[in-house]
Amino acid sequence: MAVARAGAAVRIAPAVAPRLERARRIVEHFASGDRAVYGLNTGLGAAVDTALTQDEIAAFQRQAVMARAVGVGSFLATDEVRATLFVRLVGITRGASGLSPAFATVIRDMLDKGLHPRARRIGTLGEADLSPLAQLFLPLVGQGEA
Amino acid sequence: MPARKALHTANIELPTLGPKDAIALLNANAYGIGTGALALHDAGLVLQAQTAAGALSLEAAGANLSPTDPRVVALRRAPGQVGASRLIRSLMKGSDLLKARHPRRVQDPLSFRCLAPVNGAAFDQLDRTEAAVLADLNGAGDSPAVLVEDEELMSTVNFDTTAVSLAFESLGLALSHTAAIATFRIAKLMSPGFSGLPRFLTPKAAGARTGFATVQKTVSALEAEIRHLALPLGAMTAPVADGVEDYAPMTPRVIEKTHEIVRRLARLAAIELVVAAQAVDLGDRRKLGRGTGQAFAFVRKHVARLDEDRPTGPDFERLAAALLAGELGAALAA
Repeated sequence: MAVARAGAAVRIAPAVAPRLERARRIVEHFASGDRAVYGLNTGLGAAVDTALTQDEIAAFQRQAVMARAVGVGSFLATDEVRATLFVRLVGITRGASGLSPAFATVIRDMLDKGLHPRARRIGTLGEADLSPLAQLFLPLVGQGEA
Repeated sequence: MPARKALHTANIELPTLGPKDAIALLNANAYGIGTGALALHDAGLVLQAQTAAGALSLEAAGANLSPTDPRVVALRRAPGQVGASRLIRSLMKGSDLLKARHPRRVQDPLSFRCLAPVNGAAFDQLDRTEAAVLADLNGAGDSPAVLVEDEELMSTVNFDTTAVSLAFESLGLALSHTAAIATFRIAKLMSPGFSGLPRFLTPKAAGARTGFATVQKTVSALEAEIRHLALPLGAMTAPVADGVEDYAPMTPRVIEKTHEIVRRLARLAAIELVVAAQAVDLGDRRKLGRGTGQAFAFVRKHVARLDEDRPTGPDFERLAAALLAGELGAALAA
């Protein structure tokens, strides 16, 4: 509530960085291997049956974010944007995402510097909120409005 | 402005996206859980305000408080009822009603008598919903997920939020029950046959004055909209992703509609507070309890007593905004 509505500063505990680094090394290990892992070296959703080559993996990240920005309807309010970014950051700090650690800092900076991307509400079914999150993270691929 | 420019202005440098980064950013329920936390915060404030409003209605009606006597409540430990009975008794601590040996009625209408079990059931559902949200907030919904200790990467279904969706559906239904009894209490307070007060609580009964008569329409509309929003969304969504994703719980929309219920309930609580305060003013001035006295003072800080007809919509909006800002909660906690 403090972060969402009162603009409280966000700190990432010192214990988080080593965990994120370790998780990231595991992702990179699997990325260079042969075993099929969903979303790592395969497409998403129905495209789980499509293998990605090493060359495709980099461009795939940008495409995957842009293609999921499908929201329509009213814009999220500022407190909703901040609550969403904060909850995603909390989830990432657990290490299960294996996200490149530098992005955790970017999300924290977005919250602390009041960079609130615009996102429209309709377009998620609640089996992961791909559409609102993709819209909020469009800035990370050089797109979107804030 | 374009986000690219905003990032530059904020001096935020962008790292390069590597393997898995897109799905690592996106595969989570942060929107549902984030907005869910906001909805729960507001729901807690509103339910507290509504219970205080109900207690002020009990004062205004000179109600028989025996249903909240701890000895009878202990005969059946229904979820939420024990705590709500205790809350109501504590709001009324010091009230002349608690000392009354001969209450006005042997039994009051159920909308007054059942304040504790009905609002208690909603408090109970609020706790359960909070537990469901916290499990997701403090967990990882990622798929695939990195198991750091085992150096493994595995697919999960931890992105499924059916439990959260059902918890909010239940909360919305529970709140619609509190809305129904609040609606009936408000109408009863305006009815001379029940309250012994002037019809529609007009202080000057003669002539063409309306008092709170027309507010009943606002109350009725709020209750109907709340009941409509409380209808479950159901288990069906059209399959997507060429049939691979053939089920979804629609949690974000369920949370959004629950928040819409909460916002309406804030208006309904504001109206009950104003109407009950007017009834207290027009009745035999008994000593109010500590909490009900604070609720009365909260109303009068924002809304003057209705002597001559005036547009009352802005009064209710002002009071609803104040209680959603936590002002009544802070006063009751002091």
